[in-house]
Parts: sequence; structure tokens; C-alpha cells
Amino acid sequence: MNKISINLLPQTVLLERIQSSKLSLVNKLSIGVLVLVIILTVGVLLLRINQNRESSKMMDEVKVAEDKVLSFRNKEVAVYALKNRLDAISSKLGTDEKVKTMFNLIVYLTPPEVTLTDVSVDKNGSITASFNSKSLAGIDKLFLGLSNKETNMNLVSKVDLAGISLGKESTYRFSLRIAAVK
Amino acid sequence: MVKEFYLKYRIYIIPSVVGFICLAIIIFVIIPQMMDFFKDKEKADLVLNRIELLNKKSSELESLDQTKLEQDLVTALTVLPTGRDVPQAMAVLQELVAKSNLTLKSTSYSSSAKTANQENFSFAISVAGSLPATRNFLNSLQDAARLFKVESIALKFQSGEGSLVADIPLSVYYQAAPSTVLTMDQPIAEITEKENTLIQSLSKYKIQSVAESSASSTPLGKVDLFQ
Repeated sequence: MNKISINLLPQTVLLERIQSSKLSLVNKLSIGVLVLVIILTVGVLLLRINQNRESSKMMDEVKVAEDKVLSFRNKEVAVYALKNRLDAISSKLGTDEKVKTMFNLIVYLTPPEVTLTDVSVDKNGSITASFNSKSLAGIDKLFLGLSNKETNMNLVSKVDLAGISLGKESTYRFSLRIAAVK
Repeated sequence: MVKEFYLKYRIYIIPSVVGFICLAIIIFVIIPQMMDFFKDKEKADLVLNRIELLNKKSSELESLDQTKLEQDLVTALTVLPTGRDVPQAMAVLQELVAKSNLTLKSTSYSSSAKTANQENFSFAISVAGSLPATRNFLNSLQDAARLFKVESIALKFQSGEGSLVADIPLSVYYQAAPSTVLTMDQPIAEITEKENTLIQSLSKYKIQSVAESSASSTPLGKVDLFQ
């Protein structure tokens, strides 16, 4: 059965009611947004307060950790000084190895029949040496030893005969200039 | 008139006021506070890292053996002292010469460094003896209680005697104490395995003080040549 609805209110009253309900809805929404923003602000402020509290707690922890490190200050200084010394020692150790090696090489390669009379090794490892020998075979042997890369341990780059003379008692006097490999 | 205005625009008034307040709260409170929050969070992370580093540093320092450290430092400082300590270097040299069965003929000291920018001084020594003894002496220099560098070697053999005279200029090293200021956050200097081996080999050398050296240990010369 169909119902018949009849609205006898004037059109202006109806419009006013609609306006009023719209206003109420907008106001409620606005207040809701404001409350949300306020809640958000309170949340942010609480977060900051908590952060500041944590921060001051951390600063206390830093102080404790610093004090602990400071209590081992002597050890730290000793380690630093030791490291510094060892670095310096390592860099200086063996800087004269070339001079010693070249000296040992010339002594090692001088055959028994050849006598070393003078030898000087400079800081680059270059050798100037004078020898006496009764035979040419000894000189040859010395030359071979110094020139061969296997026997000279690849330490010699050049061997020069600086001079040779035959002296009294048929003794050869000769001098060599030996350049070390750089 | 005001009433008319209100009635016309009343739907916009409260949302506008609320919007204005919200905007003000966001601009003047929430945004600055959040920016500070993130800034402080970064700082806090750094502080946390620092605490961790400091704790690690203190536990590492705690684990170090103070006695061994001091002994090693004494050894290293004897081999490479902070000052010239010429008498100690001379004593060490005299001892090495005597141990190698050589005779010290002369010694000359020069305060100037052979190499620029290096802290060293020169000793030119002249020794007499045999070739094996000289080689022995040269080898023993690398195990000496001071850092010596052989600058050059000049040998003159005496005819027919098998003896020789060797002129050996040496550089003796020292190094002033570092002037660096240690900072709290600086990590501990790490002693490597290689450096540990080095300090062990250094500590094997007989560290002899000047007071221990005596004239009887040397064939020639005074105990302290500079007196």
C-alpha cells in the first residue's frame, strides 16, 4: 500500500535546515582536525622530551667511557711511542744492505790466487778495488765471476778494468771499477 | 551588517580559523621540532658510535700488558733514542769492535747528518784486523743496540801480513720524540705482526748502557771519548 507524504513546510525552512546540518558537519570536521593536530603536536613534543632525556643519558655514558680511556692513558702513550719508534726503526733498518752485500760479493768472488789489496765501496754499492795476481788465469776467473749473473747474484751491472800492470816478481797489479745494479 | 556577513559566510569561518591554527602549529611547532629531532638523532648516532669506539678502545688498552709494553718501549728507545746519546753509540761500537777481534785505530765524530732531513750523526771509524773479522764486524752492526748505517767501506790490506785497515764511515740514527698530541677518539696504534717480530729480534740484542761498558772491553780508547 502506497503511503502519501506531504511536506507542508515552506521551502526556506527546508533550505535553512540543510544549511544548518552542513554547518554542523563542517564544524565537527574542523574540530576533529584541530584535535588531531593537537594530538600530533603533543606526540612530537613528548618525542623531543624523551630524546633530550636519552641524549643526556648518553652524555653521561660518554663521560664514563672517556674516564675509562683516560685511566689507561699511560698505556696508550706507550703504545703510540712504541709504534712510532718501530716505524722509524723499520724504515732505517737495512738501508746499508747494498754496501755490505757488494763488499761481501767482492770478497767472495776473489779467487785464492788473487790478492785483494785495496777496496772501497761507496754508498751506492759501486766498488773500486785493486788486486795482485801471479797469473792471468786468476784475473780471468775473477772477471768471469763478476760478469756472470748467476755468480754475481745479479748485483753487478758493469765491470771495468781501470788499469793493469806487470810488476816485479811477475805479479800483475790491476784495478777494477764495479758498478752495482740500481 | 556584521550579522548578515556572519550568516552569509558562517560555514567558512570555523574551518578557516581551525585551518589557520593548524597551519600555525605545523609551521611553528611540528616542523621545527621534527627537524631538531632528526638533527639530534644524527648526533645521537654519532655519540653512540663514539661510546662504542671508546669502550672498544678502553677494553683493548686494558688487555695490553703494561710491563711488556714498557720493556718493548725501553728496547726501542735504546735502539733509536730520542737524542743523540753519542757516548752510548760509542760504547756499542767499541763493544762490537772488540767482539769482532778488531782494533779500533781511530774514531771521529761529526754532528752533521749525512742525509738531509734525517736525524743522525756521523762516526768515521778506522779499524785494524783481518778480513773475516771485518766482515764479522759489518754483519754485527745490524744486530747492534743502536741503529748504524754503513755509508761506505774502504779497506787497505797490509802487504804480506793478511791484515788490513778499514775505514768505515757510519751514520748513527736517533729520532726526537713525536710532538703529536693524542686525542681521545684517536684509535690505538696497532702493532703489526711484523713489528712484533721486529721488537722481539731487537730485544734479543744486548742492550748495553754506557755505564756497563768498560775500558777493558776495548783494545783502544777511553770509555768516554768525549771527556
